Amino acid sequence: MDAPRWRELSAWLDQLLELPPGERQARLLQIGQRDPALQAQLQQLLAQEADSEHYLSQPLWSAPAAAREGSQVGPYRLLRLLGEGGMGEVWLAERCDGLFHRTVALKLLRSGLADPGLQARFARERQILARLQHPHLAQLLDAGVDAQGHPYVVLDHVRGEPITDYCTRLALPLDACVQLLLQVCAVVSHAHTNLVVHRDLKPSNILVADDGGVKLLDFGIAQLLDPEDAGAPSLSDVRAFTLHYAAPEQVRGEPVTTLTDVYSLGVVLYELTTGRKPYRLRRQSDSEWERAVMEARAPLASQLLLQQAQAQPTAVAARALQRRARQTRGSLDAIVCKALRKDPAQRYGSVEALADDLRRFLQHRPVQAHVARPWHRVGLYLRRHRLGVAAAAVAVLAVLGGTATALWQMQQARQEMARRQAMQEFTIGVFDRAASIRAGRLDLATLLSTAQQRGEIELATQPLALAELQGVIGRLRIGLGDYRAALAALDRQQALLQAISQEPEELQLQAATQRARALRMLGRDGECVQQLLPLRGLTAQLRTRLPARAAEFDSQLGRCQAQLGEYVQARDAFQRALALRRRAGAGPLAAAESLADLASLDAVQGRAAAALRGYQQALRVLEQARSGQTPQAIQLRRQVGLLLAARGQPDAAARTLEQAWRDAVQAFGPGHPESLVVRRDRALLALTGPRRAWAGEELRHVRQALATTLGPAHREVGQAEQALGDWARASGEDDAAVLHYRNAVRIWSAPDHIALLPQALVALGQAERARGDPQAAAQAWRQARVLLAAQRGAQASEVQALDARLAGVPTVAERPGALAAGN
Amino acid sequence: MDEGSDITVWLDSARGGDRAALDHVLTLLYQELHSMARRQLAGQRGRTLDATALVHESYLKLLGSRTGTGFQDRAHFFAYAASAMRSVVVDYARNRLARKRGGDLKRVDLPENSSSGIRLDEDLLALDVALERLQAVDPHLARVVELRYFAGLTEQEIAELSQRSERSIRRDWQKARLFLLASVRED
Repeated sequence: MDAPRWRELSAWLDQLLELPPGERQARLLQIGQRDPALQAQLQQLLAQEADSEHYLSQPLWSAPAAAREGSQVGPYRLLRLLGEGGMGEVWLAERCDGLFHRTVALKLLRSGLADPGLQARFARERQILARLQHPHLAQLLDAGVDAQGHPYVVLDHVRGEPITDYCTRLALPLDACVQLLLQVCAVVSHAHTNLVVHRDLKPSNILVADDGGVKLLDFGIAQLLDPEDAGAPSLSDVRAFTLHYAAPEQVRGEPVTTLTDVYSLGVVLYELTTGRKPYRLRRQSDSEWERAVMEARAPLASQLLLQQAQAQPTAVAARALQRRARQTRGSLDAIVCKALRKDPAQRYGSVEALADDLRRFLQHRPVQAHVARPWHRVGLYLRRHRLGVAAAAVAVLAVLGGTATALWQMQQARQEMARRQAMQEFTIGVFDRAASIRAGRLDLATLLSTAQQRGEIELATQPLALAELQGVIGRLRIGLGDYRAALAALDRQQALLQAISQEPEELQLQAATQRARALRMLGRDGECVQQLLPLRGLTAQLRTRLPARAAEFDSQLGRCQAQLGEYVQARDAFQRALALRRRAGAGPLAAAESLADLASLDAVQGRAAAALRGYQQALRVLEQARSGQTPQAIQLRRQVGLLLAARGQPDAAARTLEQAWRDAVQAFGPGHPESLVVRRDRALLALTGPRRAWAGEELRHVRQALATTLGPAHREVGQAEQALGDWARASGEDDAAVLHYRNAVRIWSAPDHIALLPQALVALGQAERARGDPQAAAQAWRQARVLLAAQRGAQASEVQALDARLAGVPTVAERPGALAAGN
Repeated sequence: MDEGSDITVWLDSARGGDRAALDHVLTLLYQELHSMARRQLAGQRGRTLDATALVHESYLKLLGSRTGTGFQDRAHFFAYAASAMRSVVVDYARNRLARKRGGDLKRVDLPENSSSGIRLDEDLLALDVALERLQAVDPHLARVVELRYFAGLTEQEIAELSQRSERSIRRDWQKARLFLLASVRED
């Protein structure tokens, strides 16, 4: 194996080790289809996973504990090893300088070695911690660094047992367990008011002493070890904590706050209630735990208790657990859930708030955890974006994996690997650091901006990787509906590619296609066609080698041409794309896209029946591929709904659009342009009938939202104006209708939207006629007729319908220049 | 042993790409570790060797008393120390094996078994070969193995020294072990 090969394997391992077994297998099979040798090598490595957990797990040598009994640490003599934990060893010790005689607990810490600032920091922090005094707190007595550079802390030696063991051994009723936890909350809250966060709350640090009172150990020790004044910012990512009780932000290496302690207390509460930890793992490994902490949802405590009851051998034991489940269900379930929220902002705002709710539970009063907060919805939004973040990671990796092979066949493998490695490290770095920019919250837009800024700096020596990054960002921005930012990224990509002497053809094609797509989304269809037409020759050459890219190119070209009213050319392009996709076996999604494109042409050319058939065919293809809720399917349902409505099937149309709306909110969120457009069409169905007023409200809202996100001159804003005009007409407000239609005419008079203009003019004419201005009506209709005749031919049914309308208008002398817009 | 005062100068030169300086640092370390290992075992037969303590002690001895020791120096030091520790142990295993074959096993100065359960003979040499292979394809991962296994540093310490997150070190450690096991088993 050579270095480039290993780097490739290593990059795949990063990805595969993150996946649960099922998905991992699927991914491996996918890899195998492209590169069977790669799959075999990966499988051979992954086969070692189970054994490797133990392989070399202990350092080559370490001194056994017995060897150190009696040895000296600072002014203390070690007496007996009490225990060993993630942070280090705990010894029973006594002072050997005779200063005082009681025995103490001395923790020898594994961390912070060889850190020159440690001693000074210890001295400073020690004073803060010494100020922390509470009856339920094991007092910190001393802290220092021993002759070998090991930091140590000295605490009250507490004789007691972990809170969980204590509750289990005495089979304490639920209320008593909660009472004990309230004592813990009191200490933690006291420390928080002194700005000390525990960071490592767990049963082995929460002892119940011989007198039945709680004693909390190790407060602030993690903080003691955190070198906040060390030069490098990434050092603060390094922390000591026990994975089982760690909060998601700790696992991710994000800043720790008092809310981190809230989470850990939630885990302890869960364990006190159910006797189990919140997550069940398939394999007990650190990476599984990390994944569970960040992603898995803990089962409701009461449900877990019921499950345990079923597994009990005796009826008595089962009844006890069932009783506990009844006590837990509702309030305590809600409290636990709230404490364990993955997003710190959704947890209790403080330990005091958690304690308040626990007291309400004990008093059988309604708990706050049940009350929906206004920011709950904000949280949902963030969570959606967090999914977006994961999707971005997947997208970045997919692009890296997917294009690499074809892209670089002729280039040196070494160079490619360097690029891929740089890109991958960069990607991971972005996620690492973006996470620490804003504690606890990460939204995709911020992430992408960070990636863009850092990419310019860190990938400066890898212009191709930088170009690819800008391309990915552009595509993700289109997905977010932020078309202007998308275009900016894609413009940058184009500039980068032009500066590279031998730009890879595939990337060139893809870059142009995506940039054209962004232009179309912005309604700049003329520029879109200008961007694509010069590349038609290249696309034709690449048709055999890169059918998918070529088909994508033709699709985008056709769509822009269709918007410009160039229907013949558009149909050609769509058919080329469909043929390519069918020939290359591109799969149902791609084929459905082409079918839908062709159907949309039928629709704009007035062949409603054919269009409906085409859309429904495409939709069937998607549903068969279990892709009935994808963005693509949402688009199709919207088109089907519109056509059904136009053909006088309002109920079927309403059902279809309702489903499209639900799917869109699910897929995009309610504020995304794609969702807003569905919302507009749904409202349009209710123009007449009892929900007329509601429809008006909806349409005004949609117009406003679209104008804000897309800009006031966007063609979709024109559609919204047109819809508002229709609504006003249906309400008998012809004057208002004229104003809305004129707005639509104004927006669509821009050269790019000329294909849409006739419908606004026709509607404007009708509204003018209705309010008693036949001359204004005729003027609009004549303008529409010129455009329609140019776009669809003089024999088209719409043109003849207009002629009929115009014939009914009393003639007056035509003013010259009225047709200017049509030329 | 040379006085440690010059070690940072040597380290600086080594960082600047001076191969001879690097060799010098490694030699110093190697000697230091060797003599400490012997001292620790002298008169304390049956007592195992604490590699972690050795590396940290040698650190304090060579660099620890100096003020103004930069972060880079510490990071480099531990990387060198870990790699020196590895050569100490591998050399020992080789000698041991040779003596075993030659029937001369009188001078036992290092224990036969390590606390990790790996036998300090063929097992360790096989690991060494696998580690060479890893070094050839991914020096960074090999360094993590040396720091973790031969110098006894924790993942957290390695994270501090390499200024990366503990999580990424844990992932590297995982990948390295997959590589090493696969490699050892392939032979």
